Amino acid sequence: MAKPILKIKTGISGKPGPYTQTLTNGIVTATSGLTAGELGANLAAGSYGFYIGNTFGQAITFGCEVTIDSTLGGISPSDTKIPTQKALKTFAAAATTAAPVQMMSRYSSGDLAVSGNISVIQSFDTSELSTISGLAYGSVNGLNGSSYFTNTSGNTIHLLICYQITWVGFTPTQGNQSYASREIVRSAWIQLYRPPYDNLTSDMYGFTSLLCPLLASNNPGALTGTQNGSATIELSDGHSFAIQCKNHGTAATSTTNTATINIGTATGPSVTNFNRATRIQIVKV
Amino acid sequence: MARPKPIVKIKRGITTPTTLTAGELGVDLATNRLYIGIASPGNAVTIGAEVDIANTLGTSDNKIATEKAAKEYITSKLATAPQLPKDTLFATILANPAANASSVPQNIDLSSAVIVKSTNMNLEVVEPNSNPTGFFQTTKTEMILNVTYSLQISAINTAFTEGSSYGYWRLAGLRVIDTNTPTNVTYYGMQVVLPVIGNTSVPTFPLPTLISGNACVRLPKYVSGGTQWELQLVYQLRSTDGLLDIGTGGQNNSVNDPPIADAKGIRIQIVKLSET
Repeated sequence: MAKPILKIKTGISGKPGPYTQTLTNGIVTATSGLTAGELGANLAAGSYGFYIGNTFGQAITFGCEVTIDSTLGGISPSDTKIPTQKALKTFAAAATTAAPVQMMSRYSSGDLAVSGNISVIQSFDTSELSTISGLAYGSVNGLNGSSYFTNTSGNTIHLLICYQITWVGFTPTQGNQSYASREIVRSAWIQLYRPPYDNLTSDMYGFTSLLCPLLASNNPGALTGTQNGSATIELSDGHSFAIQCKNHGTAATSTTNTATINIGTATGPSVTNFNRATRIQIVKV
Repeated sequence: MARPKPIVKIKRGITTPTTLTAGELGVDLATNRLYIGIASPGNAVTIGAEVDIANTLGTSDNKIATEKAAKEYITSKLATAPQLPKDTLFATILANPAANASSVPQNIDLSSAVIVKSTNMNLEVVEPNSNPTGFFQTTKTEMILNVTYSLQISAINTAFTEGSSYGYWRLAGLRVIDTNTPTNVTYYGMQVVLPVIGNTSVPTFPLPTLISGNACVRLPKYVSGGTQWELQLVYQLRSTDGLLDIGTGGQNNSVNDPPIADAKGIRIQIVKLSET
C-alpha cells in the first residue's frame, strides 16, 4: 500500500464518465471522471452512488445506500440500494416458505330431485371451508342454475376436485331392482363451462358410474348409493365448472345429504349411515 | 461536473491491504474492493465492493448485487424452479383383517401398517393413550392431505341367486373423526361397489371386489387430552354377509382367471399438500 493519495469527489450528475484532462498550454486546467483509485460520490437524492476509478480511468460503482427493507423495495425495487444480509435472508425465507394450500369444501344440505334419464347440476349449498381466493360459488350469466364454481381470479388456475355423490335408495313401491336393469345406474362428472357454453360434451372430467345397491329401502341391508371421483382441471379466468349427476333409470330419484342403511332391527328399518354425504373438496394446485 | 475539493484520502494497492491504521481507508485496484483499517494492527475489513445491477447475479465475490437485482434474481428462480417433491406417506397393511359386517362403517386398524415411505409427514399411527386405528398428527394446526386408498375384499363364496344375493354391496372410503366425540366426523371419498357374486358349484368364479378412491381432506391437530382427530380408512359390508377378509385378493378358481393375490391388498397413499 502506497501513501494516501485519494480523495472523494462529489457531484450530483450521476455516475462519473471516463477520466479526462483538459489541457491549456500544456497545463492541466480541468479534469472530469475518476483516476485510478480515486473516489467520487453522487449526492442526487435517490441515488447516493459511491464510485471508484479503475486503472483505465473508468468509474466503478462500489457502494450505494444500504437498505434494511426486507421486502427488497416492495413493488419498486431499486438499483441504487444494497440490502443488508438480514434483509436478503428475510426476503428469501418468506419467498420460499410454502403458503398454505387453498381449499374449498362444501356439501349439500338436502335432497336434489333427478327425473328419469336426465342429468342435473348438483348443488353444494353449504360451505365448510373456503380459503381459495378467486373462486366463486353461485350463478353465472348465460347459464341456468346457481351451483357453479367460477374462476374470478383474473388468471388461469389449476384445481384438484374431489366429489362425492350419494343417491337415495329404492322405495318400497319401486321394489328390489335387478343387476340387469338400467334402473340401478347412476353417473357423475365434472363439467367445465367455457363461454359461449356451446361445447359441453368435450369438457367432462372425472367421470364415474355407480351401480346402486339393489334392495328396496324396506329390506334389511338396503343402502343408499355413493360414488366418488376426482380430477385435476385447468380453469381459465371467467370459466366455470359444476358437478353433473345423471340418473340412467326411468324412475325419478334424488341425490341426498344423508346416507342411510336398513339395519333390519326393531329400531330400523333405515338409520343414518353418515351425514354430509354429498360433498365436494377443491384444492388449488 | 464540478467537483468540490477532496475530503477523504485513501490508500491504494493491488492486494488486500495489511498496513492500514485504524480508520484508514484502502482500495485494492485488482478487485475494486474498499477496506478500512481496524484497531488490531495490520488488519482491515472490506467495507465496499463493486455494485452490480445485473439480475443474473454472476459468480464474483468482489461484487454486490443491488436490491432490485437481488429481488429479480430470487423471484425469477422461484418462478422457474422445479417443484420439490411433496411430502408423502405410502403405507400397506399386511395383516389382513377380518371384515366385520356391520351396521356402521368400520375403520381398518392401521396399527399393523407398514410405512413403506414417509418423508417429513408428521403423521403417526400409534396413539399414546388409546387404540391405534388411524393416522393422526400433533405438530401443526391443520394439514391438507390428498389421500388415495385401495383395498380388496374377498369374494362372496356363495351361489348367486337373484332372490338371495342381490342385496350384497361393499362400501369403502375415508373419514376424519374426533375419536372423543365420534359424532363429529366427516366422510370422504366414499363409494359403493356391487361385488361379483360367487358360485360354489363348478366351475367357480369367485372374484374379489377391488375398490380405490381419492379425496382431499383436512386433518386438524391431535390435542393430547383434548380433541383427538384421526384419519381412518373405513369399509362397510352388509350385516348379513358374515365375516370376510379384507386384502386377501380373492380365492383360487379352476379356470383361466387367476386370483389377484397381491399380499398388500390394502394400501393408502398420502400426499401432504400443506400444513399450517
